[in-house]
Amino acid sequence: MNSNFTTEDLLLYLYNEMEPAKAGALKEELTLNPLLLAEYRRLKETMAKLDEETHEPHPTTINMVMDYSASFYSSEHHAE
Amino acid sequence: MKFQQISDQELVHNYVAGNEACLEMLIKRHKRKIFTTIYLIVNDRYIAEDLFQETFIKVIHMLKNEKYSEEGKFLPWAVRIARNLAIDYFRKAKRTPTITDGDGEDIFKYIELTEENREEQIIRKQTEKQLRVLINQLPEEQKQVLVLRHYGDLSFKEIADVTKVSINTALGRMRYALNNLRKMMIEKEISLQ
Repeated sequence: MNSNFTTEDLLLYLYNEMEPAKAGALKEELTLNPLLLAEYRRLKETMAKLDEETHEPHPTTINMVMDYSASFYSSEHHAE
Repeated sequence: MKFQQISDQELVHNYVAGNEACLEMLIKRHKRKIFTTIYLIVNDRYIAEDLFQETFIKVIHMLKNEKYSEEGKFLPWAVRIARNLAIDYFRKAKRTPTITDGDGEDIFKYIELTEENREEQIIRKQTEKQLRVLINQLPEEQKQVLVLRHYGDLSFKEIADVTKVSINTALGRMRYALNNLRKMMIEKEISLQ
């Protein structure tokens, strides 16, 4: 990629885990280095695709958790 | 104060103080990330429902018995519990994650009503299913980092701690996971747009 930054750096940047000063430098290099920018876009595109894969629990499961919580102290008391 | 403005820390604090609604808010806020993490590890909707419930039973025990000390970091903490339970499940069952798709979707068709038309819904569900299959075809260590980082919201540092590798190794695995996934999507002609 002929850059001061690696794909791993791009990952830290994309997941907001890079320290601000380094992130600023990377952002600047993205405007100057087409290869780095292409790799950045590839990663971002794949990550965006992953966002389409989300699932949630059945409402019944959540209700059961809430019921358990509401009866927590009485069930703990019985257990003693 | 609006729901979005209340921090996890405040919700945890108020829940421990007796406000049950705060647990529901925490669940609503994080259910997708926690459930998707579990589902992608075990690849079975029924088991994922059970493990989601077990995760929150454990969360409730720890919160109500005041054993929670990671204030402000509720999600990574809950995801770690979920991930450990998912791995324990495989240990107990003496089996390893498979790439088969036993997700029980026929029974759990409770998909939210959206403005999508039927055709769009079908295409979206097919893509989801294909993507899930591809994620499950990744080498286990790559899949684990991808799931914990992208869906579970654990930082690379937290993933490194949980999986007992260096941050660089965790980052390298994520890099390979995304590259491999991209290659597979291109091979399977799954649109990247």
